[in-house]
Amino acid sequence: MKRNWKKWVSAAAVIGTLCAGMAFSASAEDKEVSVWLGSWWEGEVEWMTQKFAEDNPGYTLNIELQPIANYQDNATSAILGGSGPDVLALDTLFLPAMMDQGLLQPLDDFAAENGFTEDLFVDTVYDAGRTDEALYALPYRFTCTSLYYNKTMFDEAGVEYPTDDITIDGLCELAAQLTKDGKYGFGIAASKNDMANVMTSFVPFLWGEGGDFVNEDITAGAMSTPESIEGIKKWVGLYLDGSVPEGCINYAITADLFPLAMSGEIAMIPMGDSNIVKIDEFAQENGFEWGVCLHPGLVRAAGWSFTIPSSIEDRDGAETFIKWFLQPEILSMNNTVLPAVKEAQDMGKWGDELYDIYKKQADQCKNAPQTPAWTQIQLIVTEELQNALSGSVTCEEAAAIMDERINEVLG
Amino acid sequence: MSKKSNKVLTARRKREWGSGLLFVSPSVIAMACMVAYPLVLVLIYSFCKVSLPKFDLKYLGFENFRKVLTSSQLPVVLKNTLLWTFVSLLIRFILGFASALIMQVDFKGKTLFRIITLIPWTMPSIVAANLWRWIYNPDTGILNFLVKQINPAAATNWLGNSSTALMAVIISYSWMGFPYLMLMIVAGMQGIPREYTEAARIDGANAVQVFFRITLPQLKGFLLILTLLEIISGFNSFDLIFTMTGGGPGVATETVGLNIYRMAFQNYDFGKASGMGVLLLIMVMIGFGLYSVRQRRLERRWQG
Repeated sequence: MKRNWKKWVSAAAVIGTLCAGMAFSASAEDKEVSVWLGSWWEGEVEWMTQKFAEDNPGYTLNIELQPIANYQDNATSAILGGSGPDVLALDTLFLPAMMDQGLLQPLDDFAAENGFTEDLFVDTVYDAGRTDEALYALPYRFTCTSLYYNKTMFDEAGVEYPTDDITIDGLCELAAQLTKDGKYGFGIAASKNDMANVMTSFVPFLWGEGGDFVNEDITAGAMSTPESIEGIKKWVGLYLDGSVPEGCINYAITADLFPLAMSGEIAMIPMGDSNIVKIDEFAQENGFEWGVCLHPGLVRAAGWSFTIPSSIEDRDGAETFIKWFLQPEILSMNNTVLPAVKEAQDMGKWGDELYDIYKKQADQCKNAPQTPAWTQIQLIVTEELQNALSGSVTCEEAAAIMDERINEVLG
Repeated sequence: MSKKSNKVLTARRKREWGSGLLFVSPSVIAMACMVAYPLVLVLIYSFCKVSLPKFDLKYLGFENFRKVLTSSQLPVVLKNTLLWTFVSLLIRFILGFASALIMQVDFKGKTLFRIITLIPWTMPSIVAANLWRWIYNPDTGILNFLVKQINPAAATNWLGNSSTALMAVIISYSWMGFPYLMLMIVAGMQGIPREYTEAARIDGANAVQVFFRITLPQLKGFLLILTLLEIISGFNSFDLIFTMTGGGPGVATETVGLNIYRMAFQNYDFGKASGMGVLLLIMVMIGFGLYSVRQRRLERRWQG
């Protein structure tokens, strides 16, 4: 009996230890939330991970940074392969096709439960994430381009600085005046491997002249209307006149135009909020002055939003992260992108007057057509613009081919 | 031989076959999963409309093939693909052979030469693509800088001009891939018995005659396999073009591989992409079939 008593105590001790171990390991196993963000978020990962763990006990954050090249394709492959992240950040241009293909989950209930109403966000970026049926994306970043100019180059050329009321024609004239001695007045982006950049560069000319890619009900192309052709002519004309570098046909804005602007080779370029800090620091170090004003025409409203891929079954972690990060006081802590939550735009460094121009430009911007066929339309327009730039076709011919091909896609 | 011994032999053969099949079965299963399954899927998709995210299928008959074959861009894309594959193959072979022959000669700095020639092959394609983008850059690139020193009128926008863009990317692709051929050819050359070349030299053959009468015929089978591998790789690869020009200007550098990728992963038209993939497969198979028939006829003629 004595021996049995000892056996029971030993067994209880062993079971107790095992249970305690299991309980301990359960508390140690926090729920991991995986988030895909662009590689430019590198500087934010450390504080975000720490702060998220502090504010949300029981969760850990795993931020996976992805390069922008092939971002959409990689995201699609991951979702279809069942290995997509809990939260996927997407450019507004990627949204229509991905929403249409059922790759994203609706967020209506989540948004309603947590008070994420339309009025909290910059409307253009918010609109990009919804269809007539559902809301699929909640924006965290708003961006657009304003017109950067190198004051020193203007002074040297004896030309007056551009102002907020500059027109497309005024911009073309300035570009021509500033092009001399191997320096260029302006820069355009026409690289086929960064078509979003092509659109950013081209749409102020298209929309500024009153043209558009498609008709109002998105049933046919509208590139061969007189207004659209005028826009194409002005944009292509800059290249054919030599007011922009010859390499522009394969240039992207940040990768190619921005370094040339930094080194004083180009006097004016379209510039987003993320590059303005870099140019400011660089100008101070290298002794030149710069300025920024409203870009003429209507610029493309750009932004990034959080989405939950269709491959995710347990949305708890994803919802916890989105809810946490979209709080104005958290979102404004990031030093990388201008927030899409209006309240956060005046908090932290984003309240600096350096960013006022982008808040002002928000009134002069609009979204690309919200159609699942946008990726194909973008490709068609880029290809034909390149043909016009390289002189293979005239602007009128390019516009007619664009419409023919767009109609094929929409029809 | 008696009936009994025949039966024993058959039983033994059956046992050997059984164990043989057992041994190869893992490879057969692996091949079926890795090659046959995707191939069958692509074939099925090519006749269907594929709806994401669950890959739901709706039978369309030959609609995807019709769309591919009636595309106005198809002739240009096919022409580009053939030029991209065969011109780069030719350049790679010339460079590969030339450097392999240099490797056969003993000279000072041979190790350095070997290292330098291998660099393009070790470079990630994204790095190589950006390096060549810089070389070809019309505003700041080294090529135009050098050309302008000789004849300023000859400087051009190498990647931005429809007439030069394809050749420019082909040269970059050839530069990246020739070290692989060089290594293979060197390995092949080392397998040729020295007696053959020594005998030819004693008989008075010069270096050119040794190359064409001894080296090349000895490498024939080996080169055939290399050619097949290079053609397949040429038809499939597009990463360098994608980074350098994205297929532009217009469709001046668009190839079938790039087109399939764009259709599937940017336009989400997996049915049409599969249709194009199947057509490409048929095209390559016909090419190889014709080549094999011709080779057999030639071999028979030589033997006869």
